[in-house]
Amino acid sequence: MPSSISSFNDRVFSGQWGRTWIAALFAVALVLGGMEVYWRSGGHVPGVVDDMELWSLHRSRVRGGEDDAIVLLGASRIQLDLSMEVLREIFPDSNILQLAIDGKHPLAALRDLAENTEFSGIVLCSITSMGFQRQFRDDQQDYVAYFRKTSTVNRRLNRLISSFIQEHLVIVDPYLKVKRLIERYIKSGKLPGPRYLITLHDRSRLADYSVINIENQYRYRIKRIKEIYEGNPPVPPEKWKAHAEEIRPLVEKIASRGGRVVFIRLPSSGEHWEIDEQFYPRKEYWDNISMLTGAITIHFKDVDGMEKFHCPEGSHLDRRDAPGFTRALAAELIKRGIREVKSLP
Amino acid sequence: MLFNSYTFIIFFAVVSGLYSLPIGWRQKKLVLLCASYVFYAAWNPPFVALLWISTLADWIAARRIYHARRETVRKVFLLFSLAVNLGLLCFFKYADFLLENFSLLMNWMNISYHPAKLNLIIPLGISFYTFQTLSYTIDIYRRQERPWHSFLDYALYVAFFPQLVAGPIVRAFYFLPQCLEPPKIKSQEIAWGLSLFTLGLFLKIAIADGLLAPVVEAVYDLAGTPDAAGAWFATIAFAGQIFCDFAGYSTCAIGIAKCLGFKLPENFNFPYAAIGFSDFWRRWHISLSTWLRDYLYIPLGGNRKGVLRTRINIMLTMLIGGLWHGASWTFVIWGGIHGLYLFAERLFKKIAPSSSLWNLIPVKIFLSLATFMSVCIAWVFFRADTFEVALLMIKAMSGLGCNPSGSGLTMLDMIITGGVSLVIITLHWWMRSRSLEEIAGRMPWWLKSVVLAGMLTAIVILSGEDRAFIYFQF
Repeated sequence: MPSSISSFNDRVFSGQWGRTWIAALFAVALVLGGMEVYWRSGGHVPGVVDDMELWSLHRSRVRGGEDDAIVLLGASRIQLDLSMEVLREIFPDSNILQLAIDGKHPLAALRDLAENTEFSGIVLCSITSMGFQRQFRDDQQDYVAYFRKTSTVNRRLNRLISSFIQEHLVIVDPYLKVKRLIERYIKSGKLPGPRYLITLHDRSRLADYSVINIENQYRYRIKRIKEIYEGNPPVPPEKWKAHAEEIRPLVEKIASRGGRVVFIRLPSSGEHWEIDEQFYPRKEYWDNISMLTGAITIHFKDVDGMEKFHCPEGSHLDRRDAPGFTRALAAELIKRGIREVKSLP
Repeated sequence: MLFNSYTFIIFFAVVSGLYSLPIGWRQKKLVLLCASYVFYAAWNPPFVALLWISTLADWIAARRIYHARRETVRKVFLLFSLAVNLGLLCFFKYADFLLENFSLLMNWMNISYHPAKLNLIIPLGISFYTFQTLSYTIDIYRRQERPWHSFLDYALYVAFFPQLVAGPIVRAFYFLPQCLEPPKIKSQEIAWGLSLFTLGLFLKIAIADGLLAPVVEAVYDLAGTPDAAGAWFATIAFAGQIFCDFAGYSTCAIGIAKCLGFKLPENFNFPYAAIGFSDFWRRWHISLSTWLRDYLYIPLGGNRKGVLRTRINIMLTMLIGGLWHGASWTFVIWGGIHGLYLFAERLFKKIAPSSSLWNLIPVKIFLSLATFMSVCIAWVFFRADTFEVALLMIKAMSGLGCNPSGSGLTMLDMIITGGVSLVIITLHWWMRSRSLEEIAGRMPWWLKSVVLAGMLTAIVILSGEDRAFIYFQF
């Protein structure tokens, strides 16, 4: 570095730094505070970013010897359809963990619980018949591997703080980062409205379909499910049964510790349900799961109170319906003796 | 632990609190040493043992070398230090690479050999701290220095958390004398240290991760061939990303050390304003290039043994420098390209007539831009995950074999890359003979406030996905 620096060193270290920093922090608070007020006045609410580290944080809370613990596995449906708040209210003494992963079939996470933990509580695993096909067995394995190899106490602690901030401030939402705002503005000529979907720190998700064009979303879902089924056609029932049977040792392993595995078919509605049935007729697929795996099964069509709920976009429930649906499911769990409760609130 | 994490802020606040307690200097150094081990253990606790092995091995070797009467003993202990440090480095970082290449060679000779991959975890910062401890032993072997009297000081030198995992690579006798007396830390120095930390975070979080990384990933991480514009924009974006990422880390490290009363050497001196490649290497990752110069190039003979040997020495230094960055042939090629650039520059200096023309500003700007573009071409090999991807990018950049259907980049991506790169190059050019201290010293307080507020706001509103520092992998 140039030799003249030493004199500048003196100058840089003799500046009015106290005043400089106080003014800077005040300006930052003013600008960010203004932005926070602006976004909130437009209906935006804070939400947590759901990532591998957040999953790992919750996964690290799975413990052995907690017979009344409840772990939720699955994909987006169980994140949206079940209210964690209501579950905690009904089962106040239970350690309830949401370990579903959006867009991925859940059997790798079930295998992780069976083989890598001493978990002895109840696994509520939201799954479709498609999810038992062998080709989807490792869908969630990247999360499991991340938890086992990459996640550390330090990272999880960082994630905890990060979630706390994300839960309280809209301005840290990646959806509202400047680059995205510009992209959005160029595309639509306006700034984004409030999100219809937010994630909470407990990894449950709340969908408010009243703020979006539900018809477009419904069409999108139907198109998407057709693409998924056509891209991955179902294996014949006999072959599928062999695939499903391979899950039995996992169910038995959890059962041998005193735990239970419950496979749940959560609702789809309208054309979505018709397409589900067209590709995986219930009689040929779902109705065999209990016999093949030894697990308990619950199908939304079979339970009074669960079958009446409607998915506005074909595949997930609205946030206003999630509490009622959760109560109906909890009542079914209690009715069938899967879970006991002192008294229903 | 990452500087760009909330846990680091808490960690640093706790360490600063303990460090400012009215305790003795020795106790303060103990606080820093323990904090450094906690900092390292936050990544993977068992690997702290490696740090201890490297620390102990060189502490013992250096003392034995100094006190030995026979040259053979001196050599044995030097070899011991080299074997421990380079052995650890080779085992963890290069074992799979060596195994893979050995099996390729065997199979090429029609000997069937397919060993299983070891898939070892590379200990964080191992390339940095092994080079640090080696420099201590080699300096003593060369009789340039005497063994340090305090093991505590020495252990702190090896593990000092601001520079532990990604440098700057500090020389022992730059750092150790700072451990003799407790520093008198003024509040202005803490404020300046925090300002440097903010600048480092701004470079890393807002510019490297928020603006440039998505552009680079959109082209480099996707299957398929980009068009010429996409390949160029992504590569120029990577030039900006790696500078902001690595210089950001170094600036954070220097700032944090400053808050604790320690001075770390500069690691970057506005490298994209370099005129020529030897100038570039005087400005880019200075602590590594000077380490390689002093402990590899000069011992090989430097430029003292004729033209051919000089060329061989330069090439060897650059190839090894490339390999230091990672166990892949793409890094070796990157080093090799820089070796060729240095040859070409020497040749050019020999044949180009001396003229006042070279001092004209437009000529200097042209040469500086030519240097930058050449450096960008070399970055392709640094960034590409495989040799095939690198060749694909080079082909696309040269207009051969590129995809006519588009680059995968949006117009906004290109505007961001162009804009940010232009600002970086202009700032580097303007700062090429200045220092940050000089600029900050001249600024009125309110302007400094505006700059700090701008950077802090940008960190919040521009931040993208959380990414580790690129140089952590080395």
